[in-house]
Amino acid sequence: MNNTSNPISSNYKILLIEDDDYYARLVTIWLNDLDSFDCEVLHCQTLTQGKAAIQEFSYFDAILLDLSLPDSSGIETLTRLLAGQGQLNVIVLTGRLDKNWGIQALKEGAQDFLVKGEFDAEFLGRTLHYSIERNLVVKRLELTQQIAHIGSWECRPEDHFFKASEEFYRIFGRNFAQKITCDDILAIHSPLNLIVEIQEEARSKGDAQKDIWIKNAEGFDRYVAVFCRATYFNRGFGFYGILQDITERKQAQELREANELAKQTARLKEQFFANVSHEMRTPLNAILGISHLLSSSPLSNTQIQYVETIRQSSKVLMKIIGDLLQMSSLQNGQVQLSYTTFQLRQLIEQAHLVLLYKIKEKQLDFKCQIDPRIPAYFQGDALRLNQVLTNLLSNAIKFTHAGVITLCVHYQGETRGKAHLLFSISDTGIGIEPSFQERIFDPFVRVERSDQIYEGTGLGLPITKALVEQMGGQIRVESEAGKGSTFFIDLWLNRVDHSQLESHGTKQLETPEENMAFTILLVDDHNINRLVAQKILERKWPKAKVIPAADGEEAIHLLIEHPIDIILMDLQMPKQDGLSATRFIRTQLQPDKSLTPVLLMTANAQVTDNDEIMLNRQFDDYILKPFEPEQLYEKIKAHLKPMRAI
Amino acid sequence: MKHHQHLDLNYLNTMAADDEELKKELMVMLLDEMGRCLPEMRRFWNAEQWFSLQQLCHHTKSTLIYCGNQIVIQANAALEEGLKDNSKKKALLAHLEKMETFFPIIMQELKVELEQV
Repeated sequence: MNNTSNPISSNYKILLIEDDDYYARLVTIWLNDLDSFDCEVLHCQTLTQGKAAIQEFSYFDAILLDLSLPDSSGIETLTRLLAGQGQLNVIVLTGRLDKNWGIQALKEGAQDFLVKGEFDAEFLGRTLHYSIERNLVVKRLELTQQIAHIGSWECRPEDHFFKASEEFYRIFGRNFAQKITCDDILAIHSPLNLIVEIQEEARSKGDAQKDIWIKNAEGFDRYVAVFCRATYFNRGFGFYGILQDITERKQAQELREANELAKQTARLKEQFFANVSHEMRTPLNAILGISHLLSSSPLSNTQIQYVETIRQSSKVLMKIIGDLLQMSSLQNGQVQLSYTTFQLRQLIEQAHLVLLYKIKEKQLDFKCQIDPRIPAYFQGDALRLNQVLTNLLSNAIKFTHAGVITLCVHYQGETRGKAHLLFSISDTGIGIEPSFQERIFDPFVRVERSDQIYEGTGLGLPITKALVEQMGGQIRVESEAGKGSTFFIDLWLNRVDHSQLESHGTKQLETPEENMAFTILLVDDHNINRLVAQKILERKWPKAKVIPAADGEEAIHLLIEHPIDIILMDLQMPKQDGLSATRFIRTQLQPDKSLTPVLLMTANAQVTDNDEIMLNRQFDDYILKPFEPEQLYEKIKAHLKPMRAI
Repeated sequence: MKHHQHLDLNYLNTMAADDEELKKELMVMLLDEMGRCLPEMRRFWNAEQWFSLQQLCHHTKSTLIYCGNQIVIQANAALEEGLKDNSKKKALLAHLEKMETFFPIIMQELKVELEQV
């Protein structure tokens, strides 16, 4: 190899492969003498040397190639040079007698050809210039295709001609150096056969387009958009086409669709849950009611046992359905907290009392420690807090066969009228395996033991966690298998001091239930219902005053005229229905009236926590008719503000 | 309390508890309500006043709870639901006719019961 020019000022790198030293010197002199073409020429005498030079220097702006070399002759010289290479800018040099080789060389990938003896220095320079510029355009196009993941091809089946861009090769996972031929695309099981298919479609339609998954030669699945246009030449059809690799876009779209489908499925599942649970609850209410009625009719001892079994089983089922509905509501963000003033110690005592018989039944000890620094009164959702503590205590009892259940409330400090409390519920039960602790708050996860079956839906802890979090708190567990568990609830509660309580005249937390004096506005157009409700309320609370109203309009007048503590409101009534009347109370009256608790009494069994009628938050709660007296009493107690003592 | 074939006063008794006066008062009201609502239903039916009929069914639902007869309770509920869904009227007529068949029997049993209170 001879370096035959001044490399300092050179712009272009030219490789000259020519075995005739005299002719090589001539070409070099011409190029060096050209003012308009500043270049560095590397001269090789054989094809082998030329290929080695390409390998070594990796880039030449142009290659001048003599087709008759000592180690190769004819068009094969070009094809051997191009084999295994990328895009080379080759200008073929032929003798006068070999002009046809030049034309053939163009088809095989040469940029141009020059006939020895028919060009001078200036023509050589111009030819090199043009070829270099053309090559730059091709390279820019290749780069653009690479950025856009668009490959292109051209095919003339009649000429057995196929040519494609580098990006086309990349998309099909092929090496650009190993040229794709017409035979390759005709191979039936090759992914390239796609090109034949779309060309055939374009042959009949003019243009053809399709989006399709292919498996490329490297084994990767690619999603491509293919476009093809057919053009008729003298000797048959020619085809131009592009294909774009849109795999990432397709995958992103599929991911979005899958995500949307998953969300929709989740929504449907929640809805399905709510609907099924509700539909089950309605007949179950009937079973409970009828078994209650049945138990008050003359029965034999065996029949009483049967009825009691029905009632207990129905209650268990009702609890499960209640859990499902509540979980569904929590997951849909449809549970709203209801703030009331309550006594924490009393709330804990109530939870303990509810569970006392279970504790005694299992002969367990129960300890309760409340930090004396903890204030007496708080404002918060007492019912939900009670539910949380009862759930955790019930679990502790369920999974403990001997030992002690301990409920502690630790005082963690106070900021801006909010007390920071840490509840801990400990047991000496079966404990939880570390791997299981991570999943214990997930829905439907249940303790499975080969030696014992523990009843439950697997919803107690998820509901508890969701309620705690809704109250702005956190829950966690520490446990050791075989030794027991401790659940911690970290919670901030608004404290209420005595002066606030007394200013509201609320000493009544200590008031015995039968002495509770309050006024109920009973709104129902059905005279029997009205009479029955009035009588059962007066029977329970002899000091309570019941004011009846037959429709919404009358109810509003009575509410304005009288101090009312709670309203029992029927839904469907003449003149003004319950929904419209309640909306009026909520929006048009002063706060001392508009905030009065309103309990919906309805015979519409379709009403649930999730119903629009409840979700619009006009009503504080609802009770389905027919109800039993105790059900009504419980609802009223839950929503009455602290009572005035007599 | 006499055992009746169609009348079931268990719910009424539960609500009245031991209050005999209330029990009697409720029975009188029940008899009165049942006596009034059925002809009214037929009148609405004949006049094709479907909305009024549906409202009356809803009202009657509360009444029938106290008579405890599941046949009329269900027929009334089916009629109310059917009217909401605008079901085929022929099918709904069967519910009304069922009530027309059973109401007099239930009311007769109720009168007997009332005489004994």
